[in-house]
Amino acid sequence: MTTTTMAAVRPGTREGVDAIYATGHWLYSRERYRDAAAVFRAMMSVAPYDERSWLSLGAAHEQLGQLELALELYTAGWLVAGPAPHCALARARLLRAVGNEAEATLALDDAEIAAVAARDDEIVERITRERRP
Amino acid sequence: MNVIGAVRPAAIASTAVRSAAQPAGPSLPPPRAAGAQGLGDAMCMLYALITETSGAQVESRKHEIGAHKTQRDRAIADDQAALERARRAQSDDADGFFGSIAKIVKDVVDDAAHLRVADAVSDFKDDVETTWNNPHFWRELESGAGSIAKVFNTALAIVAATLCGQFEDAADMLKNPDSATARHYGLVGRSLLALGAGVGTAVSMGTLGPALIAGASVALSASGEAIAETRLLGDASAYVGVGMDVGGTMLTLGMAKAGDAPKIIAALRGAALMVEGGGKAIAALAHARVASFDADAEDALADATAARQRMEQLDRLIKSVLAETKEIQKSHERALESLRAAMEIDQQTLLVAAGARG
Repeated sequence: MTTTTMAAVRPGTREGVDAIYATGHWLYSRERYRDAAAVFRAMMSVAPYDERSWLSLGAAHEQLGQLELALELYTAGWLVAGPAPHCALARARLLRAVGNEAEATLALDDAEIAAVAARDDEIVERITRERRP
Repeated sequence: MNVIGAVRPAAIASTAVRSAAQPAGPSLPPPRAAGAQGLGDAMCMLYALITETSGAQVESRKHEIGAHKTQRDRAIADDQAALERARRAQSDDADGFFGSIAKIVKDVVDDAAHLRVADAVSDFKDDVETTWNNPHFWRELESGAGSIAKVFNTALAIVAATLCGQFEDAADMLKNPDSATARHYGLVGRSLLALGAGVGTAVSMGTLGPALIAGASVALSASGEAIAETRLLGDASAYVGVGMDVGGTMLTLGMAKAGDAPKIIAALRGAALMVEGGGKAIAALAHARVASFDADAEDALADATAARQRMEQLDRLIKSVLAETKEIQKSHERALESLRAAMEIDQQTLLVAAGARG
């Protein structure tokens, strides 16, 4: 096996990061949240500016019932990997789920701004749906 | 578990994962298809990450264990020091009240007899300091402070025996202050003191002042109390004691100038109050010192208990960190092994594919 150092693999290639994400996504979709979280953590180490790292790691922790940690991760992703409309929307949704309606409304505004900045029509549509009672 | 190998066909080569049951919660963006190069890169990244994390964690745990061991050693030292402090504060090994006084007197007398004035001062200072820090002395003084008169009696008895050249008796009385010999010499001492005071007052025609008179009268008063209390003279002791008090006072008054009588009476009262107050002060001081030693002992024992608890806690921490370190190492070894296997499979797949194309 070829010896590989961190210097050789960082920053992660796009294909490599996609492969890690695919691995984590596969584990996540099979409800292996703990394994998925380990893979998403690795992804976050090599691709911290990729919004998917934060969103997926937050999602895995949310599924594990660690809602506060998930909220922190969504917030961090929204701040670090911006514009990060998926993280902002996930944050709004979770805030609403825990009964913090006022914060959730503000978070939806943030998500909308991020979605417009990212020119992502699909997420704009989802945000609009989320606003409806 | 060979996660990467298991993942490859479903997650990388197809988008079938999109249709997999998505759990409630956030929906994740679907993964993009990754080729063989992407998979190889991912494996390398994960391998490097695991190696780095494992090394860093083991190194960090080593430092953690080192720090815990240092703290543990410190806790052991604290524990021992605290126990030693407690032992000293509760110690009854040192000389008690009479032993301490005897040592002070012995050193001073010894030095004075050999004209070693400087040594006498130095020895006295050292002895007093030792006595001040001697819990046994203060405990005995506290328990005996209620009978200051008896202590006074013993001191007088020792002085009287010494003046009479009976050094062995004086030494015995130090060891056994309640003996008949001690009581005997106590009476002699008081009589001598009263006599000396009366003579001194008469010779000086009262000019020695109220202090000397008061001192002598207090001595008589104390002797009266001692006789009454020790019942040295049987049933008559109380009367004799009172008689000595009155006699001593009358003797002193009779020998003083008639005009000084009111002053003398005032001085006597003052002196009596001083002695009473002095006794109370000594008792209070002894009580405070004993309380201080007790508090020291209690503090030291509490410190020792805390140090021991800290030690136990650190022991538990070290064990837990060691167990965790082993677990991390095992986990990383397993993960690395899985990755190696996955990479080998990947290489073989590529070779097979290349062979098929060829």
